[in-house]
Amino acid sequence: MAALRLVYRSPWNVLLALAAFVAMTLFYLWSSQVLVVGRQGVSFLVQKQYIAAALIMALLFGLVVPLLVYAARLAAASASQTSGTALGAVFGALSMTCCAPVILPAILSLLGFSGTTILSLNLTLNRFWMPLAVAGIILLTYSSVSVVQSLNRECNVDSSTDSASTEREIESRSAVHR
Amino acid sequence: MRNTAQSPESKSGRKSDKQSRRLQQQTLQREKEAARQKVRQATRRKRLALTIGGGILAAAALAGAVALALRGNATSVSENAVAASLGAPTSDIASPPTGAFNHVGAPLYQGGKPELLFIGAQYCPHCAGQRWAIVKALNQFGTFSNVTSSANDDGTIPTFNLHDATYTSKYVALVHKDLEDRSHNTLDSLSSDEQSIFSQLDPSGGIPLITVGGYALLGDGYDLSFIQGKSFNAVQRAMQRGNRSDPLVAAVNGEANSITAFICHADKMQPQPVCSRPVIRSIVSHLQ
Repeated sequence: MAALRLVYRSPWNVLLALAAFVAMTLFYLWSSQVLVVGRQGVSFLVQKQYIAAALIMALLFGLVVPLLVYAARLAAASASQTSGTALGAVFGALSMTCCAPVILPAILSLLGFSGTTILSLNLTLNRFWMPLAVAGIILLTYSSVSVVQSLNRECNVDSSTDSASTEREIESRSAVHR
Repeated sequence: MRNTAQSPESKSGRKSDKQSRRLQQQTLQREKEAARQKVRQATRRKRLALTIGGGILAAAALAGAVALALRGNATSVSENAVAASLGAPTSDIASPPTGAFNHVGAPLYQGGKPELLFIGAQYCPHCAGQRWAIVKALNQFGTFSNVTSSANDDGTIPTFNLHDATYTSKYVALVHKDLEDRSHNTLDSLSSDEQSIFSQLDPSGGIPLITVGGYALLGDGYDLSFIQGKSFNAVQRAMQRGNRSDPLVAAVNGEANSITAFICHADKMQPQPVCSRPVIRSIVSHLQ
């Protein structure tokens, strides 16, 4: 919690978390066709299960991004934390596939896959959307917890230390790393 | 002097007569009582039979009523109810007149008739929303049978189950493919021709794909929030009332008129009563 308090003391980090959360929520909802952008304008199709999964994943993603950035500044972020976050986001995107998903088919289409092959993949992904979403949530949770632990270790944060001196210590360490 | 004294034998004879009469009376009474009891028992049996029969009838009536009520709420309603009209054709027109359909090339034909090809899945909410316009349009060219009501996977978008339905028409052929059911079990597969049409018209592999008369629709034809959360019967009643201020009715009728115009355009404006309607002529005038 100390590392979280430390990171989120900065309004810029709060802003970054909010931006990441909003962007990811919109992306997931658009990807799962809960948010439909069509010729008739923007419409919203309420699918509770997708909305809940999208909000959880976006919340975790928003939480972990400033932590990762902070840890990266201190060179405290490990490859597993970064790839865990990226994989979590990818699993999340794969799980958010309804009937005409957007990102993956576009990539596969560019790579030359036929419409029917992509259709089979869409159907399969939609069949397993729940395990994929759970995997995404687990990976993002792992990354968040792991980065917080790394920051705690790296900064030697403990509750008795006043946050201003800890911040100064971190700033000096990040200056050394730079 | 006359001797009036009776002999003991005659006295005993009178006594035995009396006894025998009493016996006879008692027997008669017993018989009468037995007969009355029989009548009472028969009456009781009749009452019991009537009570049981009435109870059974009442239970059957109650069970029937419950079954009917449940049937109304279930995902399937009777074929007749579903096959009922979705209201008279209206003059609603989408904006643009072809709605969300795009011109994709030459129309598909099957047996000399224009073909409407639908590729979707029963779980898919976007597919569920489009079947209303398809059924409304095709009802004018022919007849559906074995149509039941259904909904998408989470039950929020009511629709028609056309998987086991048959459509008979002199003017148009319907090819309706549901690739998976509401629980993601495989249903229909695509023929090699359908696969190549799908890959050509829908390279991103999304559903639904509706193509008719050289036009294709990928995804939603109208805003599904108009229909979401409504029951099948509520949507059907709204369509039958045809209130044009209802955005759902206007949207479905607009899309149905676009589909009707595509069919008329591909089939030399046949049949006359359907294709000569001013709204259909107006849409056809915009077609390529």
